[in-house]
Amino acid sequence: MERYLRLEKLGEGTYATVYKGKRISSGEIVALKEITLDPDEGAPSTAIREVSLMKELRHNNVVRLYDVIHTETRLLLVFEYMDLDLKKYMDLHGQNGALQPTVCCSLMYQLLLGLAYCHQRCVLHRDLKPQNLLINARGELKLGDFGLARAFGIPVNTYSNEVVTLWYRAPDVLLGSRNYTTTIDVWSAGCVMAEMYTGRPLFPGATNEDQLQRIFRALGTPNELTWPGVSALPSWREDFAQYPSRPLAQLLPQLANDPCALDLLARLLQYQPERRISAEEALVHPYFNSLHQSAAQQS
Amino acid sequence: MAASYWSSSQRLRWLMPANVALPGHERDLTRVSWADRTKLTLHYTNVIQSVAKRMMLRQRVVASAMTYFQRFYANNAYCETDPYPIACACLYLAAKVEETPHHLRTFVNEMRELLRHPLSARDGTDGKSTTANAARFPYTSADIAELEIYLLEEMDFYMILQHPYDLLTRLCAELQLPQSVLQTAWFVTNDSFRTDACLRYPPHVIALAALYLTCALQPPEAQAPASSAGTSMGTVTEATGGNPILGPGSALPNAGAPVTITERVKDWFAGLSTPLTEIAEVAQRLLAFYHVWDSFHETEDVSAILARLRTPEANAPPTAGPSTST
Repeated sequence: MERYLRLEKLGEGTYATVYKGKRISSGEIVALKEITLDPDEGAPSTAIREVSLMKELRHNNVVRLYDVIHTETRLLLVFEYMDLDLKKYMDLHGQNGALQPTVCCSLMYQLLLGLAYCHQRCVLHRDLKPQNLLINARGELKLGDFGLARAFGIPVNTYSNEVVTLWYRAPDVLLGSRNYTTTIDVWSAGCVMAEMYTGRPLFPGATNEDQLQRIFRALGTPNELTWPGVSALPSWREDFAQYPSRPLAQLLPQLANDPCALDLLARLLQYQPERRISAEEALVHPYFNSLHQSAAQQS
Repeated sequence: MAASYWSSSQRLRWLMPANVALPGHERDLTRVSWADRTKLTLHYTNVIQSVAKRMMLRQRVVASAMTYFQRFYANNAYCETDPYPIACACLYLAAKVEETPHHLRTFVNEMRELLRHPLSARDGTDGKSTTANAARFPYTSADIAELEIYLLEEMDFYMILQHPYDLLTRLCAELQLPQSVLQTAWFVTNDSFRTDACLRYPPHVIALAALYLTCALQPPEAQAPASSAGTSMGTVTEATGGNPILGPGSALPNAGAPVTITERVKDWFAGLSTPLTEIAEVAQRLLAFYHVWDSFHETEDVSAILARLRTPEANAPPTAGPSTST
C-alpha cells in the first residue's frame, strides 16, 4: 500500500472501488482497484477470476495488471492507467456520440486484436461493452474489466447464463443457450461497432424479452431455416412476434455507403453462433484494408 | 488448450526442473524419509479428495487444489506448518477458480467433520476412538480466509492450470482404446497429483505417462470391460482411493503372442515428438509412489510419522501461518 499514493476515485463497481493512483518510486500513474475482503469468505470469486486471468494475459490491447498487493482487509490490484472508457470517449470526441469512420475502424481493429488474443489464450471476456473498453491518451484501446471473464475448458455446458450486460448480449445467450463460447464476445463486438458509428447503443433492451424483440425487429425473427436449431433453445417460443429480415443499411444509414463496414458488421452479428466470424478472421476483413494502407504509407 | 500452454504461467512460472530439490521438501527430509514424506502427502491429498467427494466437486477442482497444495509445499515444509488448513484453503480457492464456488463455512464444516474421525480418509467410515484426533481441525472460516491470501501470495497469484484430462480423453478416442483403458489412465492421472509430477512436468507428459503406464501394466486386451466406465468421469469417483494398477491382479503383460492394440499403442508412442525419457521419468515416479502407497496404513502411519516429524517444541498446536519466503 505504501508503494502507491491514492488519488481521486474513478468509479465504484459491484465488488471494488477504483482510484487513480501514483507509484511513489517512479511517479507513474496507475489505476488502483481496491477489493474489500470478507473476513469469512476471503477474496470474492469475481476478484479471483479477474486476477487469475489477467495474470495470464499480456497484450498491447489488454489492460495490464502490474501487481497485486495484499493488506490486512483489502486486495489491491494495480492496473495500467487508462484515461477514458469508450463511452466517455464517444461523448467527448463524437458528434452526438458518433465517431469518425476512420476512428471507428482503428478502434475496432484494436478491439479485435485484443479479443483475438484472449480467445487464442482460451479466455472469454463475456462482458464487452463501451464501459469496459478503455482508451489512453495515445488513442490505444484496451480490453478491461475481466471480472466476468472465464478461462474456457471443459465442460462448456455449465456456464452461467447470467452474464454479459443485456444490450451487448448475444441472441443465443438470450435464448438460454449455456454452451456458448468465443462467439458471444464477437456479437458484443458487433454491437459496439454499430454504436461507435451511430453514437447510440444498437439494441438498448430493458428486459431479456425486450432485448430479443429489438434484435428480431432489426434483423428479422429467426426460424429453423435462417438459424437451424433455434427452436430447440430453452427460451425459444413459437409465438415470438414475426419480423421480416431487413438489410443492415436500412438500420444503420450512417454506414450505407461503406459496404465493407456493413459486411463485417453483418458477419459479427450473425444469429447462428457457428457462422459468426471469429475475432482472428475479422482482423483480415477488407474493412481494415484502408488501415493497413495508411500504415504502409506512414512507414 | 494446448496452444496456450506454452505461454502460460504454469509453464513459464511454475514448471520446476525434474531433479532440483524443493526447499520445502528438503527441510522435511532432514527429519523423515522420502517414503514417509510421501505417505504424509498421500494423507493430506486424501483429505482434499474426501472433502471434495463429500461436496461433489469435479475432479478438475481436486486436481487444481492438489496442485496448489504441491506449489505451497514446494517452499514450505510439513514440519513447520499445519497442512490441514492449507489443504482446506487450496480446495476452497480451486473451487472458486474453477467456477464452482461454495461458502467457506461448508469447506470448514466438512474438514471438521472429516478430521473428527480417526485418520482414515480413504473410506472415512470406521469411526473408532476419536479422542486422540479430536480437534485436528480447530480452524474457523476467518483463519482459512487469511490462509487463502497467503496461498495466493505464495503462488504469486498465478492460479490458472491446465490439466491432463482433456488430452487423455482425446488420445484414448483417437487411438480407439477401450473405455476401461481411459478409466484406468484417468485414475492414474488423478494419482499423479499426489506426487510433485504436477510441478515438474507439463500436463501432456503426465497424460502420456498415465496412458503408457496403463497400457504397459495392463494390456488393453487383458482388461475386462469396465462396468462403471463413463458414468462419472467428470466427478469424484469411488475408485480414486484405490490403487488402480498395482492391485493383486495386475501382473506384468503376458509374454504370449503380441496383441494388436498394444502393438498399435507401442508404435504410436514410438512416433511421438514428446521424448520418451520424460514419459518414462513420470512413469517411474508414479511407480515409486504406488510402491509406497502399497505399504501405507493411513491410521497408524500418519500419527507415527507426524510424531517423528515434529520435534517436541513443535508438538504444540502448529501455527496456521506459513513460513513465507519473502
